[in-house]
Amino acid sequence: MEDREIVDLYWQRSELAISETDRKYGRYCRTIACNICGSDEDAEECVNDTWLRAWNRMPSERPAALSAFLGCITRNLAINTIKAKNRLKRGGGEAALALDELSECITDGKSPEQLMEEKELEQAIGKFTAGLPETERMIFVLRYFYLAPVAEIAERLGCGQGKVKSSLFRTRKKLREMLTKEGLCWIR
Amino acid sequence: MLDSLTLLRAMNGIHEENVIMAGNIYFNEKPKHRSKKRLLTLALAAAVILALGAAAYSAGLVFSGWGGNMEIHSEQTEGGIENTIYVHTENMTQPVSFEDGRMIFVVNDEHIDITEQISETVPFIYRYTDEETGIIHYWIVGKNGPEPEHYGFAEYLRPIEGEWTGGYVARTDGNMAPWLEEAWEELGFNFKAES
Repeated sequence: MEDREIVDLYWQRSELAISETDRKYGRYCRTIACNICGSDEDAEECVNDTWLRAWNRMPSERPAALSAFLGCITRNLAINTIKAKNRLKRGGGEAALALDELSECITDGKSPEQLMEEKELEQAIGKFTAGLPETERMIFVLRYFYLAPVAEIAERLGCGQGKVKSSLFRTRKKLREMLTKEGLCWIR
Repeated sequence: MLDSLTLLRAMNGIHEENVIMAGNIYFNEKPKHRSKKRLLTLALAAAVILALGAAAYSAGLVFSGWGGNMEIHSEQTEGGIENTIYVHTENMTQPVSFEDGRMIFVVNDEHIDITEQISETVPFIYRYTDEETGIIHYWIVGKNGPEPEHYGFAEYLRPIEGEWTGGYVARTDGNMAPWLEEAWEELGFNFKAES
């Protein structure tokens, strides 16, 4: 079923919307959730909550890209889950590794609550990734949006893990520079 | 307070088209095979390693392979056995390409403009580690004349933990070019003393 038709089902308040979404995007959302949470059980919970959130947000919203829309909801729920369970330093899936890597991008500064809204940071991230060369951009998005393990990224792109790691290293350095330049870096 | 978690959450700001494109790679497309260029590099590394092992106990032509692109000769000299590696580079993928008159270093899928970075005495040095083989590759590019087309290059290999495995120099007249000598000094190479 096309995305547009699934969104129509939500707007019609048809319960088929949930089953069709699960059929088309179940694996997609479960993988994202599992990469972040590191637990099938938590991932399943996140995915079920994703369908509920989607149900509550439509109608009123009509997402142009259903996959990205659902992916963002799943990410938020999964991040909330690991935060609540304080698993970050205890083998909480790929999120723990990704968070360690991203900590390189943060320097001393002022509190982000005082300086900007998270929305502003999101916009800066969007602009930053859009400006990256394609391969570097794909590696970055796979790693930090989908939390895909380095080995899987290398396999998908047909390159060595060393190349993925060095690309991520370079991109994080650029991200840190951008965040610093834009005044978006704050103390941890 | 910006912490890694906030930054991770902010990745939701990545534009939809990039999320979709990466999602297609991750969820829909079949895994890609390693690039031909990389396979060639690995084949070269393996050939050099194998050949050097044999060369230590032989004389004359001890190895000819890699599609006829490589020969290794061994010779007994006063200082001991000297091994010489010949790589026929005419048909090899070159480490640089020219784009709008600019000299671009393209090894390891890089795209680095080295036009202003090299001369007849100043080398461009690039290093990367092949995680699968555990071999560090050192690429060196320099100029043998004023024109950019008169460039030469070299590649040396070393395991992450271990001694130098080997390497080759290409597009030079056989003498030690000043840019290569400079690179050797910078990298601490001393092959002559070791041979």
